[in-house]
Amino acid sequence: MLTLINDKEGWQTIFNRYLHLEISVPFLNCIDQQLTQQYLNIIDRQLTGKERLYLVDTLPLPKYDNISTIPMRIVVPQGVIETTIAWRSKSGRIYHIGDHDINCNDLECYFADLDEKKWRRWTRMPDKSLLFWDGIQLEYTVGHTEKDYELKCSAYFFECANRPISTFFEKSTGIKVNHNIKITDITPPYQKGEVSSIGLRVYVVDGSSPLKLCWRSRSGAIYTPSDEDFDCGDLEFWLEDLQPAYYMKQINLYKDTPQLPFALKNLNYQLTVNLIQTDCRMEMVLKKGMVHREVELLERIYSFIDSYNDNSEKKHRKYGVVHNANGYLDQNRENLLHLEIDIGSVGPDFFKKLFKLFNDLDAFESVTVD
Amino acid sequence: MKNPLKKTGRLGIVLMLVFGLFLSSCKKEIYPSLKKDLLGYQGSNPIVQDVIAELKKPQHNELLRRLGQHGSINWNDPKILLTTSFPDGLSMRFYSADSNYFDARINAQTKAIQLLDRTQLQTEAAKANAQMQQASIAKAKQMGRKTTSNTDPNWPLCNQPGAEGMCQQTIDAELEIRDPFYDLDLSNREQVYSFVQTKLFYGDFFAYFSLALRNRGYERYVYGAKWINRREVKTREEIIFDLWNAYAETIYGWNYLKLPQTVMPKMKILWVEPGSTCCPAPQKPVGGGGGAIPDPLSERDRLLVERLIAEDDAEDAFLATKPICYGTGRTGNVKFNGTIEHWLIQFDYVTTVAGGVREYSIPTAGSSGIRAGYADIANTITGDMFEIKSVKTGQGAAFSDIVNYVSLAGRFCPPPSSGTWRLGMGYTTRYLKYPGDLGSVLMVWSPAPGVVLYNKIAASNSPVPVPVLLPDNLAQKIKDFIKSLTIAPVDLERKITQFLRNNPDVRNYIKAAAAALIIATLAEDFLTGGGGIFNDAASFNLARIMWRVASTI
Repeated sequence: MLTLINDKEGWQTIFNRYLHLEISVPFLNCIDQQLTQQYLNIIDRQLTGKERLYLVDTLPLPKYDNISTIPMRIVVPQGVIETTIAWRSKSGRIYHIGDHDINCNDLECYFADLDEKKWRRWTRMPDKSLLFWDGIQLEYTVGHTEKDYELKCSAYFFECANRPISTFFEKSTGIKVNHNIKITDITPPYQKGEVSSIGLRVYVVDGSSPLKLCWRSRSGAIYTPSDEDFDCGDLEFWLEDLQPAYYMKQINLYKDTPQLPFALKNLNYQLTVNLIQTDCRMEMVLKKGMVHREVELLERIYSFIDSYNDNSEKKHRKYGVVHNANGYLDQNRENLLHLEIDIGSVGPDFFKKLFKLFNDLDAFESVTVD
Repeated sequence: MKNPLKKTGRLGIVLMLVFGLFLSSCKKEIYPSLKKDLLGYQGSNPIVQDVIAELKKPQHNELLRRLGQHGSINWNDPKILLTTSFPDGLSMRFYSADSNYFDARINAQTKAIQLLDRTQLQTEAAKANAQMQQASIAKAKQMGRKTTSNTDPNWPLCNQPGAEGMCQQTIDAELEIRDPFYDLDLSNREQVYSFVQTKLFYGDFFAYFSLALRNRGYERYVYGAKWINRREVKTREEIIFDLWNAYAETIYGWNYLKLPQTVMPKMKILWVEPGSTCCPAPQKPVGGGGGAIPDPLSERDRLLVERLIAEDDAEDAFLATKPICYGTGRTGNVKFNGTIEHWLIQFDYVTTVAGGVREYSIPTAGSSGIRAGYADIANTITGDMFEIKSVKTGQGAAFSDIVNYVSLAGRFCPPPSSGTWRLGMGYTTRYLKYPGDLGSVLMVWSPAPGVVLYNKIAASNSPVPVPVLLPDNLAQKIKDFIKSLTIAPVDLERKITQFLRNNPDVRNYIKAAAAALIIATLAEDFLTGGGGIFNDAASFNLARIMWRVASTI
């Protein structure tokens, strides 16, 4: 079962190696159980596997008191949230992280200082949509629109627009929205009226072009892009100035270019390599019987990446190194696993070995790289 | 009845015979492994062959014996140190398995080879030191001592309360004689004309440094390692002062410093591969006369070459220690969508911003949360860290990564010179030539701290003049030159320095252009299928060296 602290052994290693502190498995089990439950209550949906708690700050040592705390960050599919983990006891005992005799009925652990509303909003953003499926991106873009163009915008307004315009884009152009198609900027001109509009830039594969976001209300009220906490259902959104031919040209840019200098035969899954980018994305459809084993599968993949990097490091990074990787379950399909790899400086050899590992895992119906 | 004593006597004789045979065999093979190794040399380096021939002569049996007591020389080991502290030619230092060594000095004029083992070298050095000391003391007696007071307001140590004593110095005349740098003003940037605190460090306390010094007609490049607590924020001058003290305390410091400039051209440190034709060998006498070792580089260029090699060697040696956090100036492949953009941005930063490194490893920041993750750019001086993403991937993704990296670097990595790792600041927007696409420009900017985004824009939309590639004739010169280097990729710094000296038009163009231009020129060739030279790390490294040389000479 997925939890926020899946790799308890890893936590112990980190605490021991870098903080010279022992953190006990009973303590970890107890806080993991309670924090995961609290998180699930807030987001009201299942974990994807991308959620992870990790240490932050330069001195993340625990502070012990009636309410003890340790600063943490939580990674969610939509970004990173600063938080603090706090714990106290009903009995008045001050629990230390290294304690083994943990009475989990006595210990209460929770996220302190959390912004429930924001967490809920972020974790409900659609996975593939035109407008910022990443919460941090949305907040930044909105902030910079004000700074760069003096156009005050709210994240809430664009969250409302996100779903309708993604559907509009797909129906109007016939192109499915994926991570290679994204709105990157909010720009002038902003026109206010019965039908209001504001400029956007859409990025398709390697090229960007301007777009116009338009809206009007069913109630007749005039909304501005800086409005917050209104009923999204009162607004109708659509796009203008779409250029389907240009988008198709971009999408087909690498169609006839082989991405890897090898072909693997007799794989037990269907491999499709459309495009390999430094920020490489993979969609992996799980075989029947492999659903709910994503934690184990991802750990195997991470472990492989660690070994690949270790091997390369031993030879002065001769084979390059993978900078990072993150895997998580699709929010809507329990048999779809996403894997994002910042491939850093590795070459085709990495993919050859990775695809062979997938074969050994015998867990996927198909793997698509784009 | 048999006589038991008789039997014992026979046994004794047999035992004595066996012992005698054993002794004689030991005597014959007193340095067996060394002899075996000598015969086993498979390379074709003429100098090594000459040294072996010399070593086989009977007069060197004692030297062989002493070496044989400690270990054997692996003659086929590619790493034999060529170090000419010997002013009349070359001096090769051969190391045995246990780091024992001997020097072979080859006279450039006469080709005579002199072999000296460690003890002899130490005795010689002690003798030279004693002679110098005696001369110095005699001279000092004539000159006396003098006390000076340094009241320079720019010298920070003098301004600190309680540090006044440090600014008064008693100059011993003896030092004046031994050290031409005795009155070096460490705060004078003319005299300490280069100070590089290299991005290499280990744990909290290690810093690699290099100084280029100039004083009283002497010039010296100093490099080495000094343990420094990097959590302390120190000024450039303070660090130089520390380094100088550390340096001056070493025997090497004194030995190098006492060499007058006239013998400096003979000094170089190179790794020599047996069989390689890379390295200068004593010239065959022409018409009966001797020949000097050919070396067309000027003294200043030689120092530069020496510095570049030292930096690269130090980096290689450092990487071999597997530090917990480190970056590199080198790179991997150029195969995938987005790679060349990353390269251009990293190359531009690493070559133009002091302290910049790419691909900085940070413990526990990787996918598993246990092993390292890697930040695209880090600056070991300012503490800035950046993650590069395409505008399509977005700053949100970049921000998630970089927040993670900075947090964990703060926790686990040695602090930068500034004291703290931080989300990168002060990245100015750049417009880089986009290789392989004449109509496009790579716009690179930082929309948020720690985030560097790039976007391919039409050249017509660029708000600044579009950078152009090197003119065809110059670009072709570089490509031809680099192609020639890829055939024999040794002695790169020297060859590149020489190339740029011989082609001032190329040098001046590179100096005036953006750093990324040279790599874009090479990448252009690769991407358009020209020569295919830009297809591995070596080409990136060549471009990097070329930029470093061009911007220095």
